[in-house]
Formats: sequence, C-alpha cells, structure tokens
Amino acid sequence: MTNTLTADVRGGVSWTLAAASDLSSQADSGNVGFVHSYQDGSGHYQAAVRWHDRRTLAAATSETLDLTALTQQLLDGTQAVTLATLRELVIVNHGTAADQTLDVSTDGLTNGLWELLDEGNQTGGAIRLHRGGVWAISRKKLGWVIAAGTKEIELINNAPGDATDYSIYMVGT
Amino acid sequence: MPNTLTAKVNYSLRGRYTGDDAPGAQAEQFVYELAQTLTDGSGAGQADVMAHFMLEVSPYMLGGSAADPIKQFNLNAMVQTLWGESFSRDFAKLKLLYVEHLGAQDTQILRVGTWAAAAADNNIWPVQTDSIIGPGDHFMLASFTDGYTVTAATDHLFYCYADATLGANYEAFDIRVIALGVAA
Repeated sequence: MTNTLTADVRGGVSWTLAAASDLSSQADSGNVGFVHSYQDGSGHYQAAVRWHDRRTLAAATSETLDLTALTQQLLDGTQAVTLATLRELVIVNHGTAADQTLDVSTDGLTNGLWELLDEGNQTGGAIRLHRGGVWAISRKKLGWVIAAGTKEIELINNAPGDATDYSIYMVGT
Repeated sequence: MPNTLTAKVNYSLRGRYTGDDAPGAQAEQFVYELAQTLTDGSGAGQADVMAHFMLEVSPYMLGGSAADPIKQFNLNAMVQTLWGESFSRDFAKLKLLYVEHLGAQDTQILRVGTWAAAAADNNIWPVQTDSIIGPGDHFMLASFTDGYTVTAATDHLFYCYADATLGANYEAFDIRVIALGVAA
C-alpha cells in the first residue's frame, strides 16, 4: 500500500490606487504572488502528510491539538495522522459576530506551536483571528520540525456566548 | 483629491491524497480557496489605504536594531515611496498583512511578529510572538470585515526581522510587504 500526497498552494495580492486631478489621472498598481506545488516525499519542498478539519469551539472554551496524534476522517472511518514537519498552515475563523475572535495560542502550553514556529527561540505566543479572518503561513523547503516539545496548538474561542467554527489545514511530512 | 483603492486578495490550498489498495483506488481531495475583492471605503470588505514595500533587510548582527525602520513597521505612521516621493500612510485598521521572503539561502532567517518587546504586542499578536519563515515562504493575515485596530500607543508595530543569531548568515536579502487597511 502506498499513499501519495500532492498539494498546490498559491496566493497573491493585486491593487490599484487611483486619483484624478484637473489635467491628469494617476495610479499606483501592482500585483504580487506565489505558487508552489508539493510533490510526495519528505525532502526539500515536498510533503507527504496532510490534516484538515472544520471544528466547533463552544463559547469561551479552548482545545489543544497534538500534531503528532491527529485523526483524519476518511469515508466512514478514520486515519491516524502524525506530522514530523509542518510546511503549510492555514486557519480560518468562520465566526460571524464581532466578539467571535479566535486566538491561536500556546501561551499556556509547555509544548507549543509558537515554539515550533519560532524554532525553539520563544515558548509563548498567540495570533488573533477576527470573524471571517484567515491566517496562512509556510515553511516550504525545510518545514518547522515538530518535536516532543513543540507538538501542540491551542485554539481559543474568545466569544463569551457563541460557539465558533474554524477550519484548519496542515501540510507537511 | 481623494484616492480610490481597489484590491484583490487570493489564496488557495489544494491537495490530493491517494491510496492504491487494490483492486480499488482511493482518492481524497481537499481545497481551501479565498478570493476577496476589497472596494474603496472603511466598512466590511473595504479598504482605503495601502502601503507596499520591497525592502532589503540586513541581519541584525550587522548593525541593525529593533528601532531600524527597515524592519520595524509603524502602522500609525507609514511612509510609502511613489514616484520617488514620500507619501504618508497612517492606518486606523489593518485589513491585510502579506509578507514574502525573497531570499535564496536557508540560513536567511526572517522572523515576523512582535519580537522586540512586550510593549510592541498589539491587536494582532496579543502577546509577544514571532514566527520564522525562509526563502520563498509567505505570511498572510486577513481581517476583511473588522480589521485590526491600530492605536499609537502600543498597537501599531510589527517586525520583519532578519536574524543572524539563528542562521549565522550575514547576507542581506529582500522581502516584500503589502498592507491594506482603513486610513486614520
């Protein structure tokens, strides 16, 4: 049995800032972006493991995900997923109310994601996602190396009265 | 003479995970796709100020500092160069932050966040935080509905910090930074 992963990630921003005066029009415009395709494997710029889920956090609650002990739904069963390196991380806050902010945190953990993302330099950290907010970050070539001390990610729903859905995607080895 | 801003932000992640347990063939496909058009204004799904930079960052140990304006971005008082002239870009809210690492060597470490001090913690990073990206990598954070509120006291700074202490690489490299938001 051989499982194979391929993944394609791309993104970009384009803009036009324009104005007009009596005798001319002016504009600053541009676009930037990136494309990367992962082939199956564990080498540089490759990936072989994925995990994704849409989850619900009850009001004012949090949960901790262990990147070395995840479970992926497949058809009517499940598959154990263990990440050794993380190369793409995307988190989407599906909340619709202003108080439905989601913190991606490790501040209370000793084995946390931010130590992973900062490669051992800093143990704590958090980033806040507003309703409809998206955070995407990559480490395509080397990946962030997951170890016993950097394997957990904490998601915190700050809304006092509303459950909040979020989606999370991870690609790595 | 008011400016009018329009922008599009795209991001997608598509994957295919296959198995070959005979006599069947297994396939799972997953996708996340973001396609946001921002019109001119200050409401949800709108922006009226932007700043974009193509910068060369020099590793910290070469003489940079936390106060180096090349690495420290003050959303409350940005200066954008256009036609060789300086334009003020003061943000009241940040709707998009997009950072790309344009270096080529693994040891060119870029830290994005609030590295410098707790005083630089802000509405994006509630506590002192940063993350490392390498050549070809990206950091993208979007809040198209609300935006991150920028205040002058402590909520206006973020850092793109070339860290030679981690990679022991002393070569400068380029980064690209795009910020979209609501003007102060």
